[in-house]
Amino acid sequence: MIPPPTILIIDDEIQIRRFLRVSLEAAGYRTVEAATGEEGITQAAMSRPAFIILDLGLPDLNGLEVLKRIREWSRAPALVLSVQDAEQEKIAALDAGADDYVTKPFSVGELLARLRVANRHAQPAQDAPEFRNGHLRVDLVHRLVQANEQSIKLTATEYDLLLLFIRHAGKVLTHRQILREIWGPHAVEETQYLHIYMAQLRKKLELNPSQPQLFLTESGVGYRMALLEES
Amino acid sequence: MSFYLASNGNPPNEVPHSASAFAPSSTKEWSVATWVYQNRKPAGRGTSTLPFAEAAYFPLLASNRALGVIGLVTESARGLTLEQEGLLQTFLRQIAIALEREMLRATAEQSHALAESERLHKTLLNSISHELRTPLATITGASSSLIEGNTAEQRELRNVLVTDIYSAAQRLNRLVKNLLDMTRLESGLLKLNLEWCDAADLIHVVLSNLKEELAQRKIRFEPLNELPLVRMDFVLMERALANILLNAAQHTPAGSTIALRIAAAAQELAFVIEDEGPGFPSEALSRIFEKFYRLPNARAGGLGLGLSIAHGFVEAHGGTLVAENRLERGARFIIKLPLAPAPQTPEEVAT
Repeated sequence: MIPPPTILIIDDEIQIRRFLRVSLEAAGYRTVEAATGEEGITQAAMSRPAFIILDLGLPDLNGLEVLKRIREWSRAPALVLSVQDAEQEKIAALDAGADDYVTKPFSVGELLARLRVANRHAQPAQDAPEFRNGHLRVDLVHRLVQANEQSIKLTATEYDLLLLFIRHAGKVLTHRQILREIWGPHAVEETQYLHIYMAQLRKKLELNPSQPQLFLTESGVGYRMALLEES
Repeated sequence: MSFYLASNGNPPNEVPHSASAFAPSSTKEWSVATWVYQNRKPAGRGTSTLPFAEAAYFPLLASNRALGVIGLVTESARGLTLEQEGLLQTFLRQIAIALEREMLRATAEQSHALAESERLHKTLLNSISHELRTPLATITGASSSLIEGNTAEQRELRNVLVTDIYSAAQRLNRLVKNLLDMTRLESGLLKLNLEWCDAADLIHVVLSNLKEELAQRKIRFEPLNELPLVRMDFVLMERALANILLNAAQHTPAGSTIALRIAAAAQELAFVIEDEGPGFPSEALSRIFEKFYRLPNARAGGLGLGLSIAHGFVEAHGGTLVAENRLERGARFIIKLPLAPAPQTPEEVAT
């Protein structure tokens, strides 16, 4: 039998650690806990977790610092816990190698969904020739895009953008990450490009562009391609 | 001449009023002025008290209290004539009366401001403690009932209690958000994170965040096809719109429609939010953006901060937020944001 994956929880609040432990164990994970940043770094080395849940507001070390130090040698997916109005902190964490974030207060359902996505991305990439997500089908070999069984023509940039979202399906991408990938390092401040192309992509690929289900805006942070049910 | 004025009942200090022609040349000279203030009698040159001072000093007396001191240097060595002396006394009286009036007015204003701030403080404490206690009471009551375990057998009852705890926590969360937003506005340290944003996207985000709160309302929103990008702080505008929509949800009957529109003109972009509620009493229209203002007949719940936050965030963008009653019925909120020429993106052909 495969042992359940271990999740390291780094948070100074005992109540938060407790409800995380109870909910994660009920969902079939094993948990290890750390109450400080230093302890978290040590635990990350000792227990070799499959995932890390890291609170950014730790008393001893800045959560961002903890993340950077763990990232020096570990690629374990890290989910950061942040608070409302701390968009810059979330962006900094994502740019420093966090895989995703949830905003306190959050529901367990939200957290588990993020973990499932992180889990998917932690697996070695399957070289599938086709990508399916809800009403979207992309033939990656022939660069053909279908939405709701209709063939859709995309510009080269739109297709590149779509590919980026496909590679990171379910994960949040910061504005800077997208701009750097698609338009290059000199364009990381040019957010207007991004918003125009996102509007175009939504118009072409969403079932109802005025209620996007596929390309979600992460307010003040970036965008995320939602994982939809098969239609 | 030189003037030394008492302030708030404290004796004057040796820095003369800015209208003065000279300042005391030494501590000794200044002590003459102090003596005059304390004893409410003239002293210095040309008087019988401390006549070796450089100037003559006269108290400014009103209602038997010294309001300050005037120092006088005369050109002639002989001092003042009787006639000049009489004239001087009249001037001193007039100045003292004017000063007293001014001081009384300032005191009255101060105490009014104090009373107003005390009133605000009280309102704040009352409503915050009410807004905090209500969900806390729910959480304490419902969770203690679960702990005591007498509901263990009744699955349905347990579900009701757990759902109540969850919604009470969300209510607390909304309260904290509003208090934080208000603090940000009041601190004067609000920093806008301006980016070119898609206005229709803003509305999508707000609507999907408020799905639960707006579940009982019909929402109508038809975005225009070609909207210019607008430079704004997405997160703050999201909070502004959310507060207007939450306000609409609170004051309109279930099943009624809330309609949203975006209209673009050459210089500005307008968000229009219309509801089918009772609208505002005319006397309330001018006050709804004041913080802690609540309609006289408002249902319990809410701090009266939401609309004031929305107003503050829109104004921080150099925009305007106005409310009016619709001719038909219901209220209309209009946010206008200034439009700047949007930057160009390269043209591309779809293949």
